[in-house]
Amino acid sequence: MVDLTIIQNYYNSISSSPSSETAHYIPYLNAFLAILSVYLVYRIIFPPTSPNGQVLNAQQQAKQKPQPVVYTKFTPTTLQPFNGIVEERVLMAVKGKVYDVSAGRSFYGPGGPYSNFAGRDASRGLAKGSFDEEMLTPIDEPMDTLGDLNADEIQALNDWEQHFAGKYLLCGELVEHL
Amino acid sequence: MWNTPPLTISITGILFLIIAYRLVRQRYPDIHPFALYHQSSISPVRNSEESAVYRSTLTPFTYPLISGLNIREGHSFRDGDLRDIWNFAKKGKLGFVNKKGDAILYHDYETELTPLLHTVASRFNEYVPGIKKIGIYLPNSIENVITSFAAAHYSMETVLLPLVSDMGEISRYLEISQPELLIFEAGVLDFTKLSLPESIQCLVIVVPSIQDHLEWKDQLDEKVGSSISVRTWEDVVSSVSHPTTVVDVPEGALTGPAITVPYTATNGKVELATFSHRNTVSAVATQLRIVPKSESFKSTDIVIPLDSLQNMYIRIMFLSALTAGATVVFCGTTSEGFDVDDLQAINPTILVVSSKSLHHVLNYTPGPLTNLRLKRAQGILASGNLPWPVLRLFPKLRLIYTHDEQLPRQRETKSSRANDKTGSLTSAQLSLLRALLGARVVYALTNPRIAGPICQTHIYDYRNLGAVRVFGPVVPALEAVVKDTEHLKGGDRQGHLFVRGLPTADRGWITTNIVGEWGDDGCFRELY
Repeated sequence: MVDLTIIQNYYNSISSSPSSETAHYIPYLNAFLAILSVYLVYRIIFPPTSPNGQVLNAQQQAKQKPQPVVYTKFTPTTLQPFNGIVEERVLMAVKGKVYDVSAGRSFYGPGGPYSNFAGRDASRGLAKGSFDEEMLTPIDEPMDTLGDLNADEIQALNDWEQHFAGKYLLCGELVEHL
Repeated sequence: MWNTPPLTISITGILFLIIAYRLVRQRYPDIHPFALYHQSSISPVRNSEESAVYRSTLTPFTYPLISGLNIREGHSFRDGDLRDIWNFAKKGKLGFVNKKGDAILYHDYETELTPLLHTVASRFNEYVPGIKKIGIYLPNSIENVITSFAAAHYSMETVLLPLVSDMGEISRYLEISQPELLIFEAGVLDFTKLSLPESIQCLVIVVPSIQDHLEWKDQLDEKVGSSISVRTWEDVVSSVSHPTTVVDVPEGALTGPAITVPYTATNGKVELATFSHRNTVSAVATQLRIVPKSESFKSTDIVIPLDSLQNMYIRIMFLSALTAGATVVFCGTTSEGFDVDDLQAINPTILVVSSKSLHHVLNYTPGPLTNLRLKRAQGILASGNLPWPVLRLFPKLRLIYTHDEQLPRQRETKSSRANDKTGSLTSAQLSLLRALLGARVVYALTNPRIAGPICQTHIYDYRNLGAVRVFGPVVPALEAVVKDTEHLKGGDRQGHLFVRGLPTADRGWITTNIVGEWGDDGCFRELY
């Protein structure tokens, strides 16, 4: 205790004006700092059992995982709305398989170079390397059997199919009737 | 500044010291929380009326599911079989504590066990020429291990009869499995009540001491009549021959039946689950891969399986420990509870134990000091680290494997589940076990038709999710879906659990009759 008084006197002597106006908050400050210290020590001994921010963050992210899409059988009529305009998703049929090409929206979506194929059976167009409207089988006509393709065109179509299978999600199949 | 009172300065100093200590001693969690909330690899497409397909993150889609031990042979790898497991086991030790309080008796693989194995197989072949099926009704003894591996080496099938005391039940198991030879411990089977199937041609009796083995044999001879020959284990091993060549199992035999486990389904029907070498080995390989190398079975480990080897889960864990070259010690078959004194003498690092036994640990009564330490331990667990054990039972124990076996049953209502809570452990209870024993706990969901677990909790997952039974993601040898039930929708990730993969007793998707749901974190939770 004696030492402390000496130090206090020393401080008092070197400070020009020991302000009595500011000193009144000192006990409160001391109490606050002491409580904070005690709390921190308590938290070292007993870490909180409630999840911390990192865990809550991870929990939140887990909730936002995309929902799996249901594998669906489409007919040409039910597939048509999936062109990126009527429905948000962009789907495309190749050789009877329906791929979700939403990831390639800039190509297959509205305004893209292949937007004709969105929501349609693109097999003939891909086989012949043409992206024109006349390559598409009209919705109300029977499905394209692709019987008249030559070997090169079949090869081209198979290459395209592989490209789609590797890049996009197979999410259904195209059938004549449900 | 200079007129700040010294008391304030000292408290501030202490405060800074505390903060500095916290920063220096800060421990990162054993696993990033993100990984705990993404424990499954989920297929992006699902069929209607069922959930997406769930897989382990170790074997995501486009990767093959675990099929075997990946044993290098020249430039190729093969899955391996039970004989390979025996070869791996030679790196480790196998010990038995025969009587309470005895020292561990270690058996040497090269000079003792392997010759014994070949002798046993050739003797069995003498007793029953062309023997194909051996029934085992033994506790965790050297006879059990030797007989099952002898069968594995000589393409015989072992029937693991559950150690139940109801003779009628065993009769039914024998009837459906049709073994040609039955090996059992003296005094456990009551032959006045037991009806043996016609297939049985030989009984091998394991007597407690050599002195009275003739007595046992004579007694049994009178009871079973002359059509069945009676031998004792002493007869079998009386002159150990030393054959060096192992009969080469033809390639097709690896997919043929190797281990058969009869069980009673809830509808009272007795059924058989038959596992081939391939099924078994894929389950073993899964156990060695699913846990990080630093935590898995190692040659420095002392593993104690505390439950009966007649249970397929316990046997798979035993085989996994052998494959890793760990020291395995058996100390009697205590199916419920465990003798702490006995285990302390062995000082295990890994325990394989039934969940029923762990309930005995949970029933401790905490003192005031223990309560404070428990509170600290649970806080450390919540921050993702493993605390020191609160109960210092086993100083070296680091890992506990336990499981909840679900018999195939129709469990649609909550009330029927409430009657059968004996073995299950909730997430909160698992958390308490981690705090009490200071060891990681891996809790598995099993089913008689699947070798090894279906799902098991992540080794670093210390989350306390409350009073729910959480089993973690599906193991990397299987893939799983839940399908619609009457009240639950697979689209909501709830329903009946179906699995597919190599460790299953049947091909294709098989039903487990377990009702549950997939959580956001990719873990399977049992409902009801």
